[in-house]
Order: sequence, then structure tokens, then C-alpha cells
Amino acid sequence: MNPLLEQFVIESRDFLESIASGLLTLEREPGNSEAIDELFRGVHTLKGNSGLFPEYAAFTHMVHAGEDLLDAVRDGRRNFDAEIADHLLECMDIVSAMLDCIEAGNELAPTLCDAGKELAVSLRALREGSLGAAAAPVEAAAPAEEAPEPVAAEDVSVEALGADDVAETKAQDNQTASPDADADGAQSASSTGAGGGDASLPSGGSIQFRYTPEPACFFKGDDPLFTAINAPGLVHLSVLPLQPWPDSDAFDPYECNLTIVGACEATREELEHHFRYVPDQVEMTTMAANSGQAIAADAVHEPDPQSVDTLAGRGLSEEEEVAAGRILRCQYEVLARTNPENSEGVWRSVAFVLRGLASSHGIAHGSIDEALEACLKTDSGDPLARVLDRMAAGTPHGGEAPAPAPRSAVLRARVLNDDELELVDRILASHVHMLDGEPVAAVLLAAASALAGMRRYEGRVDDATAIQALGAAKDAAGLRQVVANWHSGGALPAATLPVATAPAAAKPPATPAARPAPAVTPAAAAAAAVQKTVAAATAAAARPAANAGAAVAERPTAPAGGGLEAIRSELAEAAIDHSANRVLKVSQEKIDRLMDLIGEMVVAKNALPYLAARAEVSTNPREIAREIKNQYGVINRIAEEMQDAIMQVRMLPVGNIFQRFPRLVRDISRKLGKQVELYMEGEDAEADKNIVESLADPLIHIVRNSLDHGLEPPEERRAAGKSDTGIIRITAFQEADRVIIEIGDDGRGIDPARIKAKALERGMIDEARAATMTDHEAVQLVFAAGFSTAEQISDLSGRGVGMDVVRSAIEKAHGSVQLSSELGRGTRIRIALPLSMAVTNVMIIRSAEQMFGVQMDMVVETVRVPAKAIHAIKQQRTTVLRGRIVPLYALNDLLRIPEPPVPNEEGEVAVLVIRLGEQDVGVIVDDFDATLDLILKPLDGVLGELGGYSGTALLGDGSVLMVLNLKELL
Amino acid sequence: MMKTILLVDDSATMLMSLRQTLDMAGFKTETASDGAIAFGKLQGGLKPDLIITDINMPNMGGIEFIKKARTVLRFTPILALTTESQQTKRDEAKQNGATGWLVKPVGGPDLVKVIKQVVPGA
Repeated sequence: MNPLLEQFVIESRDFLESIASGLLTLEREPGNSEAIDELFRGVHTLKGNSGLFPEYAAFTHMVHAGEDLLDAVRDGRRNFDAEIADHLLECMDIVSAMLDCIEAGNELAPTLCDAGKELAVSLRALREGSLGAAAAPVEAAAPAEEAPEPVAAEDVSVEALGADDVAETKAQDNQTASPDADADGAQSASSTGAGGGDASLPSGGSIQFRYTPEPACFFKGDDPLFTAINAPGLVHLSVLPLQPWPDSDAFDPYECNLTIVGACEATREELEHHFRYVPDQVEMTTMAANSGQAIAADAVHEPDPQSVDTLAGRGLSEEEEVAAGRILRCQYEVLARTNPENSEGVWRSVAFVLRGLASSHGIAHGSIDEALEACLKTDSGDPLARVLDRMAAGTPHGGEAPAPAPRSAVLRARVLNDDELELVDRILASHVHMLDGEPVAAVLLAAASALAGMRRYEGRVDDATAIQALGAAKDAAGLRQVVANWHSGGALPAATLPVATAPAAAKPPATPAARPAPAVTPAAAAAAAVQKTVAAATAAAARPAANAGAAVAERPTAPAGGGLEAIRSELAEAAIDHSANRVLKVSQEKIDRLMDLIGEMVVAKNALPYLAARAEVSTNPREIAREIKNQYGVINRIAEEMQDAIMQVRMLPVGNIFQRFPRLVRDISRKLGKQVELYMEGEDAEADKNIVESLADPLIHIVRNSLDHGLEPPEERRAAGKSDTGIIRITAFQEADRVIIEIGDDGRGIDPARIKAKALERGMIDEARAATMTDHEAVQLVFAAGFSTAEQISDLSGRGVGMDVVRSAIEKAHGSVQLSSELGRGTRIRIALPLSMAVTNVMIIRSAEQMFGVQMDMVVETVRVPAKAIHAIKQQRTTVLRGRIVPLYALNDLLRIPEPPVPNEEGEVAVLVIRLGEQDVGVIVDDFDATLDLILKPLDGVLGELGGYSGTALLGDGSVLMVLNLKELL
Repeated sequence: MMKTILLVDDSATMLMSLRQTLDMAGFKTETASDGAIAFGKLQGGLKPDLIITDINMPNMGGIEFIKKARTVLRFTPILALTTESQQTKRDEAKQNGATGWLVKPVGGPDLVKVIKQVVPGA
């Protein structure tokens, strides 16, 4: 997986957790604006991030719907309620499953995408405040505004991409349809082509802009000159003071006093895009009357070096005249500012502007060049001023535009002039390119829109409609044919023709490519001809375009609806079980500390070669030894600190696993119809990552037990005089070197009588034992293997595994679990776990001349017991310690070593008192030795079967220490 | 001279994505996961040639960050990262001193193009 995607998955999982908890918070406190802000931010970022991966458009689409819904909640347009929470939680479940797909390197499963689409519709309906609409068929529920995010799409990513194009072309299409001035039509036809994905078309127009940066623009990071210089298609630029320059005293270099005038050969859209950050500071004026002609004009017109065209009388629009006038006025001003030092520059500049103006208006500029030369020769600005005069005042010039002549005798509702024809040809050429190969639907639609626009411009509306139908039917071949036969007239494949005119589309005899047509025919005549063709055609509709279009829209969006429900419940389960922390998040300080220590270590280690060199030549081994010991002390300290620092890195707050409880409690209590309030405390208590993770499953099991068996339904609670709402309380805290987690409920508690009966029935205890058992001892039986009290096994907690699984999981992590229960008042389970499993504190003992390790956390005390204080009661050796009877076992017996314990000189035996559950037990050994911190490695391979050992560790001298598992041995 | 760009976003994914593009285009990048951290970097003497900041962030959001950043970096271009629906946020950002905005998802040539448009010499 690429790193970005990996990061995306990790971060998204984090967001999922915070979103889920945010939703639950909000459900409790609907008015919590901070929670809603944070929730919104999470969903918003999730969506934003997924947008980086267009291949997961279904993901983005669904989360987007969720975001919009939350936005409505944030704005107060919608009230947050359980229904919204349900939907959003479900949304997150689907996201989680999608992330699984992504992480596995797969595409999103189609079932998930479908579930996502369906959910998106419900989410949108919820936003509108009526869920009822969501039940309606998808087509109906997807309003027009959803068009950019099509619901029914065979390939979501392509469609989503294309949708914008479609919207764009639609907008432009509207323009095209309006029978405006010629220039207008030509231009929009051209930009339609560009919108369809072809950038090779040169833009048609010239635009003059005046950019007056706001005085404080520098303080917004604007660089006006830089921006202006980079305007697309810039042909001219002049920078002028906005106000006359003040005295140097009053001059404020931080205040922008400029106005920038430029001319660009670019479309208005391009310029608007370029200046999008400062739209209010830029005025734009379109300069060319016949934008299509503008560029070609120089070539079309015979340059007449002796004349300067006037701008007047060229049929400029009012807007254009104003712009041209402004430009000219500016040039007067500029000319007026010449002085001997800068005259040449000014003249060149003025000539440049005039040339630009002239060429953009399609007039020759030979005389401007001449005037400039004259100025330079005579050292006077007069010649240019005269040219300016002429341009401004206008000497009428005879050069009319060439009379429009039809290029070919084609069917044409309106005659296009040569320039228009050329433009049409260019657009057509670009479409040949666009339609090459197998274009995607969006391109086809865009091409069809553009072509249809051109036909409309020509006044042939029927053709236009038919072409669009081709686009809708995704008929690339048809469109290609349209392009190929453009000039020869209505060479449309007739299957698509009659949408507007005939009730049933029909395939005509494939002919019309060579059909002769009158030179000029009104649109009506064309329509009539088309109708004739249709009438003559066979009735068998080969491929009715309209139907084809409709079929696409009706593409089924979801598989069998029943399957979806199943997926959903699976998802909800998966979401709960799914949050193993694959990534360790560590605070910066912890890492910094490690870095510091490594630095120290590097330095400390450098002392060793130096010492070695000293030792080679030294005559005083004692001194060297001392120095080595000193250095050992330094390195040892660093190593210890590093060990500690690494342990810190692995410490995680237990809150990490608490996070999923609110959701768990919410879902299960709803399912069971119980009212439950969950309190959590001490989420900050930290423990080693492995410990925290090992807690997850047992805790979930315990909480489920509480919900399922512990807490009563409201009626029963009321009858027992309790409030309707049950309470589950989860508390974590650190106690010495253990982290304690308590889970308590105020439910019905465990009935010792029932437990005893059950145990008897299963033969786990005998009558005598049952009679002597205290209630406390009885309830502990729930930890016994295979014990389950639930009369009916519910699907929640009773899957045949009981508390024994919880106990063994906890004990595997060297923890212990205790249970106390009061009938009718509730149950409390207390789990104690070591903070860390990485390093184990071990006491070394000797027995039968061998060394063994015992984990210190089991050791209560070490005592020396005189032999005579050991009594045998029914073959069981015991002793009395501070008034308590402690049973004694000899380690050699437990290990089946046929050696008696060795007492010391005073005749005392060494007894290691360890705690087993609630009871203290003494183990007789030969002697005690040091305690050590060791890294315990579990036995593996065939040795893994050995029950009596919890692992091995390497001692400093390289020997192996077997660490005993006394619980198992006893 | 290599141009330095300060990227501010609470989403590590977004940061990584921007960073990948910008590194490839030859920019030096600095990142911060919220406005407060970013502002701290500016106060610490970081002088980026451009700042790209998300709007919706914990601790200190984009708008407030832009406002504060302007007190130390008066002329540096700042672009706000927005989504297509956040027109009002864009205006607000501009009013508080942002130079312009980017619409998420941004990446690749488009991003570089916009940067070249606002950072002279980039």
C-alpha cells in the first residue's frame, strides 16, 4: 500500500473512533456545540481526505452526505436525534468496512458501495427533514441538486468526474441556445469545445483589464505586479499611479498606489480565474467585436502601411468602445508625461499599446510603427499623438469586412461567414480527436453538447436535439459520424434523429452522406426533410435513443434489499470489535527523551576504545579496572534510563479501549430494551500497549455480561425499587505497580444459590462442599471452566464461553481478576494487571542445587520457619504465620525432584509465601537469592507444553534461568 | 533559492499529500497540525514564502491563525484550504488577510500552478 493511502487508513480509523464517541456525546447532550463542531470537523476532514483518492468516490460520496447532514445540524436547521445518530453510526460502520477493503488492497466491495449509496440517500433525506422520502425509489429521491453526484452510475468515479463537465456544458449550452449576436454564439461554441476537454483551440477574444489593487493589498500577501504579469495571454501591460505620487515625506511604500492596465488574448473565463482572488479589484472589458476574427484578422486584412484604422465605425459594442476609449485616454496621459530622460521608453510603450489595440481590433498597425520611428527621429511625441487622435476620433476607413460568402453549398439554416466556418472547422477537428477511441460517458456528453450547440447556432434545432440524444446514448460511433458529415448536412444516423419529431425512432436506410442539399434552407425545411426520412424508414426501432438514455438512469442501484440488513448488522459487530491499535501514537516528549539518551549512549560508548588502548600499554591493571567500572556505571545508568524511556513509549492510556464501550452499551441496551447509563473514569491511567490490548476482549465480555445478565429490564428494576436506568461504571486507576480496572453494575447480582445448584448439577462440587461454601466462594464458581448460568443462551454474551475465558485471558497477561456480588444490588469485577509485561521482576531461589526464578508479583514474603513449627495435618504440611494457617509445599516435591529440603545451620527452612487468589501458600525452598529485572521469554516449541514454567530468561553470566509458574505447579 | 512552504492542517493525510506534491516540485515544506503550532513556528522565526492552511482545525482554526500570522508576516502570501461549499469561509479568510484559497482536494500540477501564481520566483 502506498504510504499516503496507509496514512489515510490509519487516520480515518482514528476519526471513526472520535466520530463515534462524538455522536454518542451529542446524543446525550444534543445542545453541546463544541461536540458538534468537533464531530463536524471529523467528518469533514474524513471526506476531504478521501477526496484525494478518486477511486474511492463511493466513500467520499457517502461521507459527504453525512457531512451535509451534520452541517444542517450545526446550523440548527435540523435537530440532532437518535435517528440521525443511528444513520451516522451506520455510515461510520460502512466507512470502517470500506477501510478494511482499502487496507486489504482491494477495491471497495460493490455491496458496500451500494449500501453507501442507499445510506447517502437516507442521509440526504434526513437533512431535508423527511425520512419518508428515502423509502421512495432512488430515482425519485435523488433530486436535481444531486446531479453532480450521480446515484445511478456504473462507474462512480468516472461519472463523478464527468458530472461537472456535464453541468458546465449544460450551462454553456444554454448560452449557445440563446440566439444572440453572432460573436456571442461563436464564442460560446468555442468555449463549449474547450469545456469538452480540448485545450488546443486558441481562445477567441481579447480582453482589457484594469487591476486596481486595494491600498492594503501587500498586507494580504498580494503581489499585484506579479499577478498581472502572469495573466494568461498577456499582450500588453502598463503600470500607472492611481493618485499622483505624493511628496517623499508623505510617501508610504506599504500602500499600493498603482493601477495596472493590461490586455490579454484570453477568454474572460481564463482571466476571471486568474484574478479569482481579487475579483472586486479587477474590471474587464471584452475588446474584440468579432472575437473569432481577432487573431486571424492581421492575416486576413491586407496591411496598409499608410493608414491607421479608426476604432470608431468598426461595429464595436458599447462596452468595447468605452474600454478602447479608456486605453487611448491613458495613452494621452502617458504621452503628456514624457520628459527628455524617458521619452523613448514612453513612446515605445505607447506604440506597444496602440499596436495591441489595433491588432485586437483587427486593423493594421503599420502606421503606428512609422509614427514611432518618426517620434524617435524628431525627438517629439507628436507623430504618435496624431495617430492617437486618428484612432480616437476616427477617420472612416473604407475597408469593410469581406462579404460573407458560403463556403460550400450545404444545408444551412443560416449562413455562416468564413471566420465562423473556420471556427466550426476547428471545433470539429478537435472533436474528431475527442471522440477517438472509446471516450468515457462524460466526454461523449460534452462533445454532444458542443456539437448540438453549434447546430443550434446554425439554427438547426432538430439536429441539435438528435445529437444530444446520441450523447445521452453514449453512441461514440454516431457522434463520430456526425462530425465526419458535418458539412454535408443532416448526416445523422437516423436512429437518433426523431426524438423531437417522431414518436418512434427508426433506423433509416443508411444513405445520406452524399445527399445534395439546397444552398440555403430555412430551419423548417430541414425539419420537414428529416421527417420525410423518418416516415420512409422502417418502424423497427433499432436503438431508440431516448430509451437507451432512460435505461442508464434506471440501472439498479442496490442488490436485494434483504441482504443489506444483514450486511449492516455484520458491520455494526465489526465496528465494535475492530480497533486494535495497529499504530502506536507516542508523544513528542517521550521520543525526545529517547533521542537524548541515545546521544549520551553514543558518547559513553566512545570511551571504551579509549580505555582498551589504555589497557594495552598500562602497567596498572587496577586503575584500568576502576576506570572500566566507572564507565560501566555510566553506561548502566543510561541503559536503565533507556529501558524506562522505551517502556514509557509503550504506555498507552486504557481509555483507548474504553472508547468503544459507549457504542457497545448503546447498541446492546437498545437491542435489549434496557436503559443504561455508562460512567467511565480514569481513562488516562496508562499501561503497556500489550496489557491494554489484552484487556480489550475480557472487558467487552464483562460489559456484555453486565448488560445481558446483570442489569434488569426497567419493569423489574422498578419492582425492585430501583430507578429505571441501570448503571454500569468502569473505573481505571493505578495502584502501586498495577493498573486496576473495575467494572460495576447495579443490577440483580449473582445468586449464590443458583450458582451452587448449577455447580452441583454439573458435578463441579459435591453436596458437602456446597453446604460449607460461603456465598463469596460460590459466586467465584463463575470463573470455573465451562460454567454458564444463563438459562437461555442469548446471542450477546452466552456463546458457551464464560468468565473462565475472561480469567484465563487476564492471567495470561499476569493479571488477576476478582468478583464480588451482592444479590439484588449488583456485581463488581476487579481486574488487576501489571503496568508492563516487558520486564519482569524475578526472585531467584535455589533448590536441589539448581536456580529457579519466581515472579516477584506473586511473592508475598520470604520467611525462615523452624522445622518444629511445621505441622502435618492429614499429610498436608502447614505452619502458622501471624495467626494464619499457611499450607506448605516443598518445591522439590512439586518438581518431582527426589531430594529433601535443606535447612540452614539454625535448622530453619526457607519458605516463600506466595499469594494464590485469595489464599497464601508457602513453598519450601533451599535458599533465597537476589531479585533481578529480566526479560522473560515464553517457552516455545515442544517446551511450550511444559505447564510449570512461565518462561526463561538469560542471566548476566549467560546461563539460562527457568522461571517457575507456581500457580500452575500448585 | 528553494522556497519554503508552511502547511497547516490537522489531517496528517492531507499534510502528507500536500507534502508529497510540493517536495516533488522542489519546495521545502514545514508542517503544523493546527494553527497554534503553526503560529508557534512563525514566532520561532520560521519565515516561509507561502502558507497553506486548513480552516477547520482544533485548538486554533485557520481564520484565527491567518489573523495572527499577519501580525508577524505581513507580506507572505497565505492560501486557505477550503472545500467547494465553503464560500463564506473563503470570504472570511480573505477579510482576515488571506491572499487566496485552494479548493480541496488539491494536488499535483494544479497545486503547483496556483503556488507559482502567488509566489514570485517559485
